[in-house]
Amino acid sequence: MLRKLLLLLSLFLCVSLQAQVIIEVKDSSESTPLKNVQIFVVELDQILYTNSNGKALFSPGKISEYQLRISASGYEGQIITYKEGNLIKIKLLQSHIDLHEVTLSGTTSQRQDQNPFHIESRKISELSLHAPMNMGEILAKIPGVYQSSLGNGISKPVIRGMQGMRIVSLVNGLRIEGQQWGGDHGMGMAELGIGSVEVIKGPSSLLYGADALGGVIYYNDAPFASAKSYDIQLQSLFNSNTMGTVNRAILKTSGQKWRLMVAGSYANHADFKLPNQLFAKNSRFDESVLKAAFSFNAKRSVHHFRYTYNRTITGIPGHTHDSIVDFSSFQVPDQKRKYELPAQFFSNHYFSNENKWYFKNNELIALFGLTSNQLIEYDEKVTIPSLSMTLNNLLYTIKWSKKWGKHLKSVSGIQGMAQTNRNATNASDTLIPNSNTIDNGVFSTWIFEQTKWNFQGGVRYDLRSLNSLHSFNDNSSLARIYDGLNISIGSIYKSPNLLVKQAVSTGFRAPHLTELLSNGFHHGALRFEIGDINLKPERASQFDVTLEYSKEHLVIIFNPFVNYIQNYIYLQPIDSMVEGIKVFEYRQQNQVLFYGTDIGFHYHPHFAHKLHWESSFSYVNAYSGSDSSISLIPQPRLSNTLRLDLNIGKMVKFKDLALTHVFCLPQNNVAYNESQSSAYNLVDFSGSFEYSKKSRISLNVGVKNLLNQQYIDHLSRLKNIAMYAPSRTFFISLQWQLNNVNN
Amino acid sequence: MKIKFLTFSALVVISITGCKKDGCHECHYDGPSGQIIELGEFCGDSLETIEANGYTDTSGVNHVVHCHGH
Repeated sequence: MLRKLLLLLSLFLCVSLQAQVIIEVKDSSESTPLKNVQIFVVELDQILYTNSNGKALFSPGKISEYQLRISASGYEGQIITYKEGNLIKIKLLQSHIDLHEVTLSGTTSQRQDQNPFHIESRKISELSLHAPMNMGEILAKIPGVYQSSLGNGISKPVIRGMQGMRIVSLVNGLRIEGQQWGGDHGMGMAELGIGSVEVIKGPSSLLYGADALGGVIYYNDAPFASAKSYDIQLQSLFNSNTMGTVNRAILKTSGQKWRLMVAGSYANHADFKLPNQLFAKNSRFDESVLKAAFSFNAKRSVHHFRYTYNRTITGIPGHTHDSIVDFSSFQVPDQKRKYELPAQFFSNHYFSNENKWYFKNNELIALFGLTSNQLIEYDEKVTIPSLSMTLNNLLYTIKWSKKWGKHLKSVSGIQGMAQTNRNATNASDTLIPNSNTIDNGVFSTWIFEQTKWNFQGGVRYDLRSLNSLHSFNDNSSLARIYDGLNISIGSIYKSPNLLVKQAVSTGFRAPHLTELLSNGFHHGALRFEIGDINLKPERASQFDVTLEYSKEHLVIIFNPFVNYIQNYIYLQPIDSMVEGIKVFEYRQQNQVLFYGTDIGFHYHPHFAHKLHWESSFSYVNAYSGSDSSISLIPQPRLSNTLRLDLNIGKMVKFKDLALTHVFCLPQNNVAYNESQSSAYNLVDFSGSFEYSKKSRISLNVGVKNLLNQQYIDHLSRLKNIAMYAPSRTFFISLQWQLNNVNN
Repeated sequence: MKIKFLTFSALVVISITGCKKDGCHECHYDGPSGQIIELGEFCGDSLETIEANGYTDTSGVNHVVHCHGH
């Protein structure tokens, strides 16, 4: 009996051992084993790390081939396909600058040097060197991306001069909606658990349907813990300007076939301090976030469940119902933290379920999601909201990818949403009527890849049905159908040092209910707005070129674009006032041309090996044929960051120093009744230290607006009350991390 | 590991949901010559009622009531 048991056990062990594959990673020039190389097995949603011998073990299942994404600091990343065998040998090429991260926001997951469409992909940690206050500030570090902020609590992304309804935001493929038509409505997105962000600049309707006219922001969660390990992170941050704190906690644990992440954060900031030593009245905010994700893999599939709850209470600085506005009344000598009116309460629930099935040469992805955004604004009374809206959104995406041989791949699918917007009956005001919106789209994209040339092209048809459920502002209930046929075509040429991308993409945006039916005060924006029921959908066509020259220590990028928009909807101030508030009408410009460029380089000099110099210049302008229609064009921006990777010390390390200088040129190209903006300089500085033994403790200290510059950005929503941006700010952040401990 | 995980999750939930906003407010109305007439503190249902219906003074005039430090 014992013999039989031993025999069975040895057979089982043999089978188990056979099922394991050794991945061996070495440096390509020196052939030395590389440790701590991250290997992401896409089909198993599993992360592995190489040991001190440069080896990692991987257990393939029933799927015919696996995609392995290899990444290591100081080396160029690789994507390899595993089909069979017990040993995978990988040699990584040394590269001090790797800008070709794998992006997920495109048609299919691709390295950036294989995708004809220019996508900016950045790690959140790279963008957060100087303790940003919110996600808008993080995004505004990316060339061509800016923020439109209303103090610290409300901040929204601006891509190449376009914002609000023209920008689509997604988290792990789930489209998020948050009444973004209102400039004073927050974004509902926090840094917690987000690992990287991708930005598509310009029309992207092929990928994301209606509304993706100005661009797409795509947030990716940070990876789970590696197989059979857990990871705990605790972080506290203090900001001297707002006397604010941010506390975050993240726990990740993974088995062989399942992964779990739970996280929470709480941020609380008092009114921000101005350079004149006064405080911006009612600019305080607090934000709570709870996040959970679970993933498991079956024989041929991977399944994700993700949930995020985000609640923000934010004061609205500069908000008034008074007919005569005294700007100085918004700057006060005392800093307060406790919420008072007017205030906004946002709460967001994001739930998604993503399923991926893998077959031979085929991949099927089905994503289902539910988002709920509640926006309540209290202006005059503490128990009766002036505004209370709930926006629920049910979404689906089904995508089928097929490889048609070695060079050709297609991705086809359907995508849509069913959206309801409801006003609470106890609210005193209604800005938009109760409504239902249904979107459905069908698309197909083809990718042809060769060694030097890649081509990609696709077509998509979308149909939007928009129904208001009751009469509103003297208009009877509304029923509209909008449709759009869009294409994207692009190519990429690769040589050892040069990458040339050119792409044409189109997009469309149906007019929003606020643009069609408004007829009243929007106090948050200090406007009386009048809509136009006859507005037509906006249509955009963009031509975008990327030239990228790279050497071992230098990368230079030149990315000019022109974006031609028909039926551009804008707000035109008219010579009229209602109760002391200026009146604006929604109008349509037949044609508008947005044009500009992003130029940047990353230099890592050989003679100063610890130094990284990243520089970018972003410029955007608009031409409409008349001088009055296009407002809020961002100031030209030159940004330089010097980073010194010191890594001095053993157990206690002086990690790095970072100095950032941002110079925003004046904006004199303004719309009718829009004021010009002056140039300003901002200098931020930070340094970080690390103690590591069994766990790792990181300390990051620094200062923002070191020169205490008194400035108002052209896109600041507080410009109309002449309120400056926050003064000099010191920050300190402490993080404790325990990871890679086997269960 | 399970105990660590459950303890951690509970702490996260408590820290997120632990705080509540203050339910009581000092209320006032603006007098005929612009002076502020204080009405005292109101809480819960009585706060909702006075904000919804306003305050009627001895002469029968109804005033809009404000219950915050605007």
